[in-house]
Amino acid sequence: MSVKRYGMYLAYPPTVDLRHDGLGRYMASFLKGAEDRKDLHFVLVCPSWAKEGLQALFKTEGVTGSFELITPVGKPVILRWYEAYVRYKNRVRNRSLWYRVISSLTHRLNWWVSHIERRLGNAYSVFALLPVFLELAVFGVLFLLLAALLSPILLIAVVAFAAVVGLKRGVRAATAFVRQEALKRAKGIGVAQLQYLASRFGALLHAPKDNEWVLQLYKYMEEAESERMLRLIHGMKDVRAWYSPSAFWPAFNKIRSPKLMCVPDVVLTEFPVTFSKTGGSRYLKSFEAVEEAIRGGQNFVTYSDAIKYGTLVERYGVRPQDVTTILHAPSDLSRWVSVKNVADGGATERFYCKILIRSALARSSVPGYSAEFLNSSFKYLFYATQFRPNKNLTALITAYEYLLRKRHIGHKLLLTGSPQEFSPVRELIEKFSLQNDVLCLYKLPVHELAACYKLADLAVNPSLSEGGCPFTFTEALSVGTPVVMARIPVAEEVLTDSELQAATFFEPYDWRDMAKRIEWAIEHRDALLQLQAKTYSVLAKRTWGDVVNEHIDALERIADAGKEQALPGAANRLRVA
Amino acid sequence: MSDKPLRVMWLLNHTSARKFEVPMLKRIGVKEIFLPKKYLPDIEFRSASVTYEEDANLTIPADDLAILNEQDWYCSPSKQAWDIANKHFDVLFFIFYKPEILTSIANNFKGVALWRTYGVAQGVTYDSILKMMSPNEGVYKFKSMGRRIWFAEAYPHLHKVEPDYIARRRLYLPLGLANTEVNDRWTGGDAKIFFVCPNIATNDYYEKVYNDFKKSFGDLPHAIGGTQAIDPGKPNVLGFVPQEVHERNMREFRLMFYHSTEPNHIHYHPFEAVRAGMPLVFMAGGLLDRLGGKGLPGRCKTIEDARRKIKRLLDNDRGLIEEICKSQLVLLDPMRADNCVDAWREGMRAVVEDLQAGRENQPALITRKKRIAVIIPVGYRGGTLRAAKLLAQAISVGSRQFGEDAEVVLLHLDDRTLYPDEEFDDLPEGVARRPYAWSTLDGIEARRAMRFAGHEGWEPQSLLYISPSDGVADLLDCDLWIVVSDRLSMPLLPLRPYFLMVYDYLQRYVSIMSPGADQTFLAAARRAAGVMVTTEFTYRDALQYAGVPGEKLFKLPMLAPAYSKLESVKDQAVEERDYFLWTTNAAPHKNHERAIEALKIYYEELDGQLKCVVTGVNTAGLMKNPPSHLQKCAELFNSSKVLKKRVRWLGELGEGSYRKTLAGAAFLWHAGSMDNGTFSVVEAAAFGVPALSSDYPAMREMDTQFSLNLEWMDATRPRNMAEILKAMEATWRERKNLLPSKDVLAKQSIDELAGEYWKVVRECL
Repeated sequence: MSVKRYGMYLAYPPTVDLRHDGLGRYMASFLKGAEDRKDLHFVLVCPSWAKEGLQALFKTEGVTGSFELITPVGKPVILRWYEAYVRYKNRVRNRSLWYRVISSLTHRLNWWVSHIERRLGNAYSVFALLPVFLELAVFGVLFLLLAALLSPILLIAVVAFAAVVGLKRGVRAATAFVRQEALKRAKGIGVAQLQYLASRFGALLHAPKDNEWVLQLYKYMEEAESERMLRLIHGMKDVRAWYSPSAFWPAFNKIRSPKLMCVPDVVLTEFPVTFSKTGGSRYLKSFEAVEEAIRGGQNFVTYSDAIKYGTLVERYGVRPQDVTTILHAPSDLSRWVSVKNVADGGATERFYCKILIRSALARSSVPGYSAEFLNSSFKYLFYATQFRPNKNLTALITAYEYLLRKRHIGHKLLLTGSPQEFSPVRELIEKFSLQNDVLCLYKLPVHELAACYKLADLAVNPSLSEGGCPFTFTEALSVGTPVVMARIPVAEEVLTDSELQAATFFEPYDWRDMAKRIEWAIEHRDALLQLQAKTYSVLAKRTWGDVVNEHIDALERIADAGKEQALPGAANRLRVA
Repeated sequence: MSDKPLRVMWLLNHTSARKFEVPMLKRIGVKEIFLPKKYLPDIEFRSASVTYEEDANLTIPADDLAILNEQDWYCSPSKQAWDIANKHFDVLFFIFYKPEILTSIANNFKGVALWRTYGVAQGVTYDSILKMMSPNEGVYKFKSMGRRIWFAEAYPHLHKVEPDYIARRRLYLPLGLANTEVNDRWTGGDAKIFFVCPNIATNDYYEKVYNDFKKSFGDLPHAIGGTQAIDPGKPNVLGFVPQEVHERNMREFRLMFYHSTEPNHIHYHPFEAVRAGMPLVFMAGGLLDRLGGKGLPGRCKTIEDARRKIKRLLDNDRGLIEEICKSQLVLLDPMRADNCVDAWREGMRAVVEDLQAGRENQPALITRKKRIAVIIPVGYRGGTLRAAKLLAQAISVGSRQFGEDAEVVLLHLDDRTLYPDEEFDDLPEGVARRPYAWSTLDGIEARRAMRFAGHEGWEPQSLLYISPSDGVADLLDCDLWIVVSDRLSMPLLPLRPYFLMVYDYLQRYVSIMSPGADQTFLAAARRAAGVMVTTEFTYRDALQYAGVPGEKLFKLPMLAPAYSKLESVKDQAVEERDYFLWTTNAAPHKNHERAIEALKIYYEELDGQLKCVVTGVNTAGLMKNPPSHLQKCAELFNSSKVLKKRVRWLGELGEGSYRKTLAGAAFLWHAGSMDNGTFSVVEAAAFGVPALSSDYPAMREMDTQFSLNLEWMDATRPRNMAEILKAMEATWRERKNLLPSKDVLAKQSIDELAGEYWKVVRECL
């Protein structure tokens, strides 16, 4: 059998953990879907810094199959330094040498004092005390000698210590002074510039991905790395066509072979104000990159017709025939929590999931509250998502507050983002005093994610905008949990049955409607599950193998044409009647 | 010993262990053995199963057996089950899987308990497990059993790493194999290593074992056996296989590699390989060394050594194969029943003789009554003080109803201003009172106190602890402490088990404290032996908000004072009633602002005819000198002439005056937004006065329990409140007919409900 080789272009910036990234999991599913195609071989070309992350992702997701991972040799020096710093920061800290010396000396001194006391107590005659006095005298002389010998060193040490402490305090005071002065004289551009420069270095070590200077550094690194990647790619003549699963990387368009770019969405255009206040310039840079990539591309894939027509065709003027819509396959989480060969009505599965949830709770946004939360049978609503403006979290939390306080539903709300990285959520939780009821479980590994879905009373997805039908539907149903979702075009494309839509969808711009739907779903959980399970069984027939096949069809078409040309109309679709 | 036959409860479900130990017990003369029928659905119980085959041999009543079969013998069986166990059984075997079981055995079982131990991983001891899983009670309960508990070790050296209190209770009952017959059908045609490693995806220990194996031998042909509860998605992992495939594996694979260097624990599968005639290559330093493996050719000191031997076996080195197969049979010797029976006979004889001697020499102790402390933790008065008295009374009455008379002590803060003597004039018979003060202990003092009390190994988890100091014995004369509410400012020193009586988690719904301020209260509930609540709503919040597990939560009926026994106050003529009574206080959750808005609408827009009379603690000057949270509300009130004219603020009334005022009202108005409910509506019903109440869960539950037929309003909407007030003008007379009769109210008396309380309390004694 002849094996056809296709390339995949991945240009993640440094420090991205793909295991917690939607696109990372999508890629893992994609490659697993290709495992059965013995006639295919994927060549993944990625930056030098992404190799370890991709390998970790594939290990976690159990991705095997026919593919190879190729990167340019060697990482940028500054990145190696940063990684070394992170390793140093995250090292398992031992007790300092100073601490160990002092505690050892204290221990010995205590022992010696006890020893002298014991001998004093055991002496029944003055003569018996003589050795003790002798020992005390020897010790005293030794101590004095040592003190005399060490006094210059001690003096120097004291002076050095005072100097270090003074210097530290001086720096701190100076920094505070500069800050105060800068605030006082907002127009004093010199001070502000100094302050800006200082903040650059501080933020570099604290939150590099949101720092503009770091982003600029990343950009330079990415530019250099993409040139190196392109050199590798251009040497691979046997690769029939190249695929980019994201539109973040305009350099992809420099590949001279046939190529196909996936555009999941351009969500920033819909929430300009909130995105402008989130993540510094990171989103703007991404946005510019996406626009550049789309404008320079010829052949595209989207996850939905909504993005195809609403974004690519209308906003960017791409010809419809140049875009192929390839729907997702279901995301099936059941294998992570399905207990084999035990016929006990799911009791063992639930027990196992409770153990996983306990572990997840220990890392929540309020560990002091949740780590000792002993009732692992609690009821909750679950929304698995990163925190982004399009995720409609404000409306969800408002609806939840109403349901808890006015409708007394009693449930908790479990989210999977970090409130520290998205202030609207953090502030709303504080405003409503919901710290103990809206629990944010950040960076859930996939088996804990599956457990959270499985034990949830209800999964909720209020997202206002997505590239394709949210995975929430299939992820939840794959482990037997019903879902309510926002009525948005990408969801309506896939979930077309009117009865299902009426039961599942709510109006995402109206939190009251959301609350009403959630409350209804809790009360009619079994009926909703039954209804949705029918749809899930149809959706589940589509596999990631189908998704891969459709991509291969698209790649073949452009490869066969021998040049970059428009693709024919939409490929095979999945519709649920 | 009594004349009943020696019966044993073997409270384990491990299939392979049962196949050896139950026949062994029979072989040494124990004919009647109870086996548990329930076990936890934990993946770690992968080797567990249930069998009813021993039930037929038990000569105990079928009803008793049915109750025993219903219990979870890994956690906390019921009092009734323990009574049955004590009646019929003298010895039990148990494992310490959940901490509750040791407490339950120590508190309830009168026979001998054998803690069955099969060894744990290196670096872990049973003592450390006891302290980790049950830091407050484990060691204490073990020691409290004295000679009634044995450390029944499966290997004779396990006690050597344990502290003295465990080691001196050692009892060697060797573990063996039910079948040691050699079934020499091995052919070894499949040139692969057979490595058994279960539950790779769910157990960190086995995941590491798997990874280590792959690192050392992954390049050699291999198959991974063992059940996998969750599919690990790894190549060469066989997972569960049917019996015929398993037999084929044991016959065909070239060799088995056994990785373990654990000196205290061994798996069954190496013996299975030996029985099958399959060459066993194993690492030195493990328990196999003690079982005769030290000089065997299959033993390897290093991984390199193991790789060399394995490669030779994979290359079909017949010489080495024969050498290993022939010599390894020696490993089966200590596992043969014939070689274990003497130790079992001797061990069980010692147990029985010791039990017998203990019983014969037991002095005739005068058993004192159980004593329960009901503690009011802060300076509560009013409703909560009344609730504490009712709780104390219910426990006292309930214990008498069960024929288990208990003494009840009500503890209040030693503050005569707050608690004058006359406050307790109404304490019922059987309830004593004791003033106390909280004593604070730092970690070092707490550690010392716990050591003195016998809690060896207990270490403080908090910087500070509190303990009730009553000037006598610091409440150690009481067997159980029940704290009324969860308002403990810091952890209670766990000298005694304690319960909490929690009425609500108001902070979940109303902003009455800053975020995180309730952390100590929630922690108190989680540490308690039990939490009692009186409404379904609070029950749910205890589960959902406080995180108390369901098995520690008890929902009990609400206790109301004996209103049905009150002599009726002279009724005001119905036609003369020209006011309704609003009972409230100054607390923020009483919904004053909406209530005043509602009254404004009622009088100014709806032409309300009835006057409003307000009563309650700190209400006399509520609108004249309002607290900060009522400033806006007072402004609203004072700006309305009609409100000032029609609303009368009486303040706190004496009992007699209050009842007179209540009896003369057209109806009672309860406008609070969310709490644990108010008994004023029950009292009103007792006086023939209907009530209009805010609609919230606790009031709904009270309405149901006391059959009150309350009228409802939405306390979040002032207009709705006003409209229903207006409607009540027309309907209150008819609503009197819907009130419960005295007989109906009498069914909710303490005498009727006390038993429910005692049932919960006695389980913990």
